[in-house]
Amino acid sequence: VTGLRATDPLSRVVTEVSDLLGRIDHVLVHYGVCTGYPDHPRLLAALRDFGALPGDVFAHLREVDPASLSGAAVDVGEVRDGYRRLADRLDRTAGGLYWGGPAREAFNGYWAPLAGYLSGGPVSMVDTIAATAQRGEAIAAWWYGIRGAVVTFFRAVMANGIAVVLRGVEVDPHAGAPVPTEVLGPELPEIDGFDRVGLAASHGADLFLGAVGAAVRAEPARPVPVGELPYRDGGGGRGRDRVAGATGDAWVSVGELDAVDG
Amino acid sequence: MTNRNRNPETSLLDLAGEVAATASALRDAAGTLPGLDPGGYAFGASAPGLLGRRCAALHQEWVAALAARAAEANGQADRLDETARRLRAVATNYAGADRAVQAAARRIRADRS
Repeated sequence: VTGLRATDPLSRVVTEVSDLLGRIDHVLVHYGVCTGYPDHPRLLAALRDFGALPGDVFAHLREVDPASLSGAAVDVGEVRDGYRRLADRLDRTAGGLYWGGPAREAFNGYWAPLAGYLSGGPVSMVDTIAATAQRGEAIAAWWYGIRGAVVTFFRAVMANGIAVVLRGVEVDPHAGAPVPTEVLGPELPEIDGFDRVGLAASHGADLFLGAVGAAVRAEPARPVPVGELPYRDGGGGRGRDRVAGATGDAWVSVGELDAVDG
Repeated sequence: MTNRNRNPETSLLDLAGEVAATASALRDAAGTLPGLDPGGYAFGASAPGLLGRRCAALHQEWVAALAARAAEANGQADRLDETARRLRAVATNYAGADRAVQAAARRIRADRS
């Protein structure tokens, strides 16, 4: 199944969850939300928020593969590593530059912010690309959190008897309204004329949308800089001009010429 | 910029070459970055309602972040290319001045002899 990994707890119960939510959807479609369910206003609000029945929501989220998002983050991390290697090599080369005098001093003033923009400055390209990779990893983790919420939901409905009650629901679309062939489990009381199946379906839908909704609303960690990092040359552009000036004869002394191989 | 691993053999032309190579690598990175978007579907943006809205927002943010990183790489590549050009110009000027001084020295020696 797309989007599932052996290490993902949801992968072990995806069929069971899908089957259970299919039964919940089926009951909701035919009976609507059980008004006898104490939290039915919350369930109605959640259904409006999601714009879909629980089974449909699950169908969408099971198709998302957090590993593909994680892979994109890893790829961005490789770009970050590449930047670091480039900066290190550039740093070594510039550090060994055999050049002295006032022109070199002017160059240093130009070079420091330029090199620092790539790496080592107050905020550099290495920093922004690293933050981007971390955000990608955080979004993948966010998705694993959503999948984990589904597992938590499933454990709950297995423990509280909802899954057992809904086992008897016939989900054949041609079968009309669901008629429990066998209602199992006496845990849920009958309320206001709604049978246990209707109550269990509403309760189950509320639990599912509540758990998934909380995970969806959670903010992935590590905000990412979405704007371009501005370049500041440290001298309002003067550094560049001064380097241009270094090409003029007035900046060249015999001593400097001795230090430069042509 | 620190001066660790100093290489005392580096000339202006060496540095210009390294700067240009870095610019080229950054342009490559800028071209690669937009391709690291797995698409809205991979983010879950095709889902309806709350889930789809959240996923679409995260996807848009990811795309914007990649675009910003690519713009940073391209901008830095432009600056580095310009720097390499200027470094080569400086090296050429130094070489020209060096030749002029040597020629002047020869003329002075010739005048004295």
